[in-house]
Formats: sequence, C-alpha cells, structure tokens
Amino acid sequence: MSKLFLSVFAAVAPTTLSGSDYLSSFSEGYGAANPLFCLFADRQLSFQQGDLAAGLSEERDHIPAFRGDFTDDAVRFLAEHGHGKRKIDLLCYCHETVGGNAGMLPAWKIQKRLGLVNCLPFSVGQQGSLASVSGVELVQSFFRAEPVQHALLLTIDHVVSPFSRKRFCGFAKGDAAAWIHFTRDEGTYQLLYAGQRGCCLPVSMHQWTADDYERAERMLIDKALLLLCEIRKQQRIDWTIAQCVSRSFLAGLERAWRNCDQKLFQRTRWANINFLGSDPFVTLQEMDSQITVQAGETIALVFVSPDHGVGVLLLQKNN
Amino acid sequence: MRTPTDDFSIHDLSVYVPPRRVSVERLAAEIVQHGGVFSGEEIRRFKTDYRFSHVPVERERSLPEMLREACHPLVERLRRQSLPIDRILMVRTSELSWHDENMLREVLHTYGLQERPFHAIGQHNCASVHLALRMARNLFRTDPYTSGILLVSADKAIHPFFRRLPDSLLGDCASACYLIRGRKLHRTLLIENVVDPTFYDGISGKAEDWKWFQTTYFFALRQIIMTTLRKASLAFDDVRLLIGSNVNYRTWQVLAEMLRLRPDKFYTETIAEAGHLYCSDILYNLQAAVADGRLRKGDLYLTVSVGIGSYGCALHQF
Repeated sequence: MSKLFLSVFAAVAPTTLSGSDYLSSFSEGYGAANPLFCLFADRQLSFQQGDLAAGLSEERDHIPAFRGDFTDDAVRFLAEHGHGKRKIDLLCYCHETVGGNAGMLPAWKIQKRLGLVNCLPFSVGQQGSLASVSGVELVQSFFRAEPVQHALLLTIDHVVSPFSRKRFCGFAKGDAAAWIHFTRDEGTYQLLYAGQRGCCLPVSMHQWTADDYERAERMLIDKALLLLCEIRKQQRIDWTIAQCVSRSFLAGLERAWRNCDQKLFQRTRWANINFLGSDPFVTLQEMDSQITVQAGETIALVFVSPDHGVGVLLLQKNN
Repeated sequence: MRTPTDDFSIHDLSVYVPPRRVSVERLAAEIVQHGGVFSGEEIRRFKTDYRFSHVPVERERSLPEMLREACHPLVERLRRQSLPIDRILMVRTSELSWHDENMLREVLHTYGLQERPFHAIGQHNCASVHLALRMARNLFRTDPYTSGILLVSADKAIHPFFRRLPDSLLGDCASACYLIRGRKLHRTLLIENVVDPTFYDGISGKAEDWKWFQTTYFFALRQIIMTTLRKASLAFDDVRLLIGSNVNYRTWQVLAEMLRLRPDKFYTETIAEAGHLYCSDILYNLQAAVADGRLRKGDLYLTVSVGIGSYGCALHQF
C-alpha cells in the first residue's frame, strides 16, 4: 500500500478569555431566532451555567479563545505557511464546536480565501474530538482510492456561548487550530495508522451526573489502552501523547500504559486546557521543541471524546 | 458503457417522515408571526411555480429519536439477513448540533454497534448525500474489512425561519440506507461532486454572490449531469429517470427544457406533499419511484442533489 506523509502545525488561540468574561457571557441576551438559542430551546435545555460550581474561577482562569471570526486567523496562518500557493486537491475541515453563524461553511470560506481551485472541500464534525481522527481516515482513503497528490486537513475549534467550556471534572475547553499537509512523497512524519474505537454510555449526556462522567472516563481509559495494545502488536510505539481531557483521565491512562512499560508525554504549557481535536497536535508541537525524536521512532496520538470513544493516529518520524 | 470493477450498491433503505404535515399557508403565517416575511405573492409562487403544498414538521421527536425511527426497521432487516454493519456514515445539511453528543447512542446500544468506526461528514449542504456516497465508495475500495456501511441522515428546522429558503421549503426527515460491496439492488456506478466555494455564506452572502448563484444554478446542474453521462459514455435515452432533490418543481422543469427532455424524465411526484427533505430527498424519492413503478429492474437512472453552491450526481442501476 502506498505511503502517506504529513507535516503538522498547531497553534493555540493568540488571545485569552478571563474567567469572569467567560462567565458573564452567559448572561448575554440572544435573539429568539439565534440558531444556538433555538438548539437549546428545541431540547428544552437551559444554558449551562454550572461552570462556577465546576471549579472555573473568575479571577484565576484564563482560557485561550479566538476573538471574532476564527476562519480569518486560519487563512492568515495558512497563507503565511505557503498553502495558498500550492495545488491542494482536498480540504478536510474537522471541528467539534459550532458557531452561531449556522449558514456559513468554514471549509468553503477557507478554500475561497486561499484561492484553492479544483479542490474538494468537506467537513468532518458532530463526533466530538474524534473528528480529527475520522478526517485523517477519510483523507487516507482518498489518497488510496483517487489520484490525490496534496491534501490539507484543518482542525479548528472555537467554543462560543451558550455552549459551556467545562464539564464536571474535565479540563476547560480552549480554542486552537491545527493543520496537516498530506502528500505521497514527503513530510515530517509518515502515517502508519489511523483508527477509532467507539464507546458511549447508554445515558444521554444531557442527563449525566458527575458519576456518569467519571464512568465515561474509565471506559475511555480502557478503550484507549485496548486500542494502543492492538496497535503495538503490529508496530512499536516509542512515544505516546494523549488528549488533555481531564486530570483523572491522563493519570488513569498514564498508570495503565506504564504497566505496559510505556510512558505518556505530558504537556507543560496549557497543561490544564483541553484543545479538543487539536489537543494532541499542540502537545506534539511542544514535544518536538523539547525532545529530539529520532528518525524511525513512532508517536501515538490518542484522541478522546466522552460520548464517542477513542481514536489513535500513529506517526513515524521521517528522515 | 464503461463498467467499473469496484461496485457498491444501495441494498436497502428506510425513511422516517413525521406524520404531521403543515401547509404552505400555515408555514407562512408562522414565519410572519415570528417577525419574518412571507408575502401572499410568495405563497402563490411556492404553490404554483414550485408546487409545494405541505411539508412534514416534527414537533415531538429530537434528532436522535428521528434517527432511531429511521434506523430501526432497516437494521432489524439487516440482522435477519445477517448482513454486517462495518462502518457508519452520517450526513446532515446543518452542522448545528451539540458539540460532542452522540446522536446515534440508542441505535448503537440497541444493536451492539458502539465500536463501529463512525464518520460524520458535511458542508456540501443538501448535496452532502453524494459526498457520502463518494466516501463510501473510497472506503469500499481501500478497506477490505468494510463490506457494509450504514449511511444515516437527519435534519429538522428548529425555528420557522430555518424552514424556508428563498426558493424552497424544508421538511423534517430522517433516513437510513445500507450500502454493500458488490452488485446488489441499486448498483452505484459513478459519482460526481461539485462545489463553488464562492457561496460560503449561503443565503446570508453578498447580494452579488447570490445573484451569481442564481445565474449559474441551472448551468451548474446541467453541467454535472452531462459530465456524469459523458464519463459513463451514455446518452439521456440510456437513462430511465433522473431522481433529484425536491428543491422545487421549477428547477426540474427548466432543466428539462434546457436538456430537451420530457418533464416526466425527472421524478417530481413527492414535492407537493414532502417538500425538500434536506439530504434525505434522494432516498425518499428512490423509494417512491420504485413503489410507483417508475423504475424497472435493469434500468439505469441518475440521482441529483442540490445545495446552495454544491451539486452531486450519481449513476445507478436498479
């Protein structure tokens, strides 16, 4: 099977939101025809104002957050890295979050602003942070099935109120973006594996208690471990990065993986923030700045969605 | 005709349409009541030129519950036939959803499908269904462990304003279909997707972009249909029927004139009572066309989906 190479770049939102600004955003009014307001009204749910109780401090916490239209930031980053000048066959836009502008299609907007022609844009979403892994699987299948030469996968998340940035003991959700350039012949890494293992509680997440969240975490740790062990039967894993979902998830996975003589690389900058589908890429970037990963060594990136399951990308450092 | 070697087929399908139907006049009144505009002249145009009469409106069930209604009969039949579901694809016109809610939770747990790889794709508006067919084709081509894919879709307008497009009326719906490797009930032979990203803001875009869309709309539709036929080395006479999105009747009436086809070459029978069912139009109409006897075994036919700025077309054989 032909090889697939990739280069990754990740960026945390350059501005931050203070705890008090974030909490006060819930008291903003919404027009009755605001799509997000309608979403909540349709399910007869009130805005999630439990963040204070969940431990988000008004004074102390600052969360990376995009201001304004995040697609403008994305276009700027991509243009600075030369992607507007390259022939791109496929633009895969992955996201977990949704904004209030229901009719705007970010994948198309980015394609248009970058001036990409004869490029197929599409999105992968509505599956939590696993959208990134799902997107990589689909891009991989395009490369194997069609004459695609270059693809760009973007994963961008921007949490807007009235959606909450906090659930139970999970880390606060921060905004970030990552993009991956895929080619058939060169890149920082080779993709060795992309796959998911789904799991979800039988209870709707809108009815979860703190116990349910912890139950979901334990299920995710078990699934992640199973998937990593399966992958390891076929391929050595030298480094492992897991999404910063919560302290207990990271501790649980780190403990279990240590029992398999493996270790987890843990991020130090924004260590208590979950950057959703970009999170493991943000950690990969930090790891890359601190450790010299040797050519041939492999890195497993573990993505997690409490209501969808786990996904893993296995990358091999290229020469 | 060129015959590809990596066929897949639409083997079975199930569509859930809410029983409650609301008339164009009633919808117009609801929109006006909420401060919107839907004039008497527009009502006349929607009824006479576009041939809308009623659309289904879901007032009780949530999207996950609608998906359950669509999936249950289909998955039960698959179980009885011991047909595997190896992957699940979901498409929706709208991306408005809870960040990480699993909309298929109940279906997954009822049928033990929790571990199946899942892909939720979109941003081709109502033409996302043909994007999904292309993704499915690629997965069948490249993953030997994928023999059967469950493709699902569900959309509902959560506010009266979202039910009306400038030239269309949306009806709530959920659908599920089973795609299987090989030559079964409805072989899918060719798939084309076209996107013009100029219209990234949809109906909220700049006036000149919207004007450009209206100018190029019929030509873009004509083009994708002609391209599909050309790639298959077929003429219109080789194709029994064109099954399109229920975007409105006038679209297919004008296209028939442009292509010098009889109007009944296009299947438009469900527009009056179903409206435009987002990404589920094609499956709903396919089911109806077979039930009406408009397709016979061996017939070649095209499915054509339309979004604002996006188009999909596929060639199938019954």
